[in-house]
Amino acid sequence: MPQAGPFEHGQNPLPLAQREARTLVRVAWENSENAEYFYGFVSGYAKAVFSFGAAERVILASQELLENALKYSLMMKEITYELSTTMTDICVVVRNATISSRIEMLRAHLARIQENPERTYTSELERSMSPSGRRAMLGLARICHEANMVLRAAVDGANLSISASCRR
Amino acid sequence: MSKLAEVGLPTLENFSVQIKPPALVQLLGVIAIAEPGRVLSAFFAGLHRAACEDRLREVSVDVRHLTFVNSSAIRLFVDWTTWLRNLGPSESYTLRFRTDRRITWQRTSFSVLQTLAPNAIVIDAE
Repeated sequence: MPQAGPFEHGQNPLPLAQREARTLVRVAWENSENAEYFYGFVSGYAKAVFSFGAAERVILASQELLENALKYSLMMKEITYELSTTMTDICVVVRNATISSRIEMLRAHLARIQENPERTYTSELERSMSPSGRRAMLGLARICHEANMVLRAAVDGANLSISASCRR
Repeated sequence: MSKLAEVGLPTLENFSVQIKPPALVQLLGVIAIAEPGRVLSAFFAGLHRAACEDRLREVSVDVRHLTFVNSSAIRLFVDWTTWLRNLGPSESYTLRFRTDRRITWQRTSFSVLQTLAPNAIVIDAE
């Protein structure tokens, strides 16, 4: 069976074996206005439940994926966050509705990150130093390079799901 | 009188700053708000201006207790590095970051910043 790429079509990127996955946290916001205050909860929860290293990864992935969803979600569309585990893995999934151009940009960005996370991270930092004005896209690169997590994305119509997963 | 000591401190939940003249700045807590630049850009620019006016040769920034920053906040350190790179040799100073090597964001971010401005950034990892 061919290896799944970072970008798939369907409702869920399914990074964990679904049968054994246990949902620890699932939150849905009806719009982006009241999702900003979630960081404190996730941070406290991850530190209580996981080892220091795993908590750091979960906090980073949760923060960056949620921030992206808040920035790029269509107005008044639901955003969902899910943190789940198996015996061996941890996964953060954020879903939101967005526009097709954002999905295309993300597809290209994810391909660059998967090819070389460190180089992409460095080039995004360099980009933010340049006066070009183009906004750096550091968040996803940080999840791969800094947190050493695997990113996957799935698209179902205008709904985008991005997962970040790693070993526990 | 130290200009650095006169820099107004920002107010941000879960984040605090201590300035210890002549040249030490301690950043503590987390920076996780969506657009930290709106609250903190002016403060970082103020630190840079003060360092120049005080004619400091080095500013020490202790981030060991800054346990998490989001990507937008990393931009604040990038901006500071850019301002330094734009100074002439006579007015330039060194930014010495005191970091905790156990904290991943500090390990990855500051090492890359140093490669982008090797003459301006020094890392003390503990």
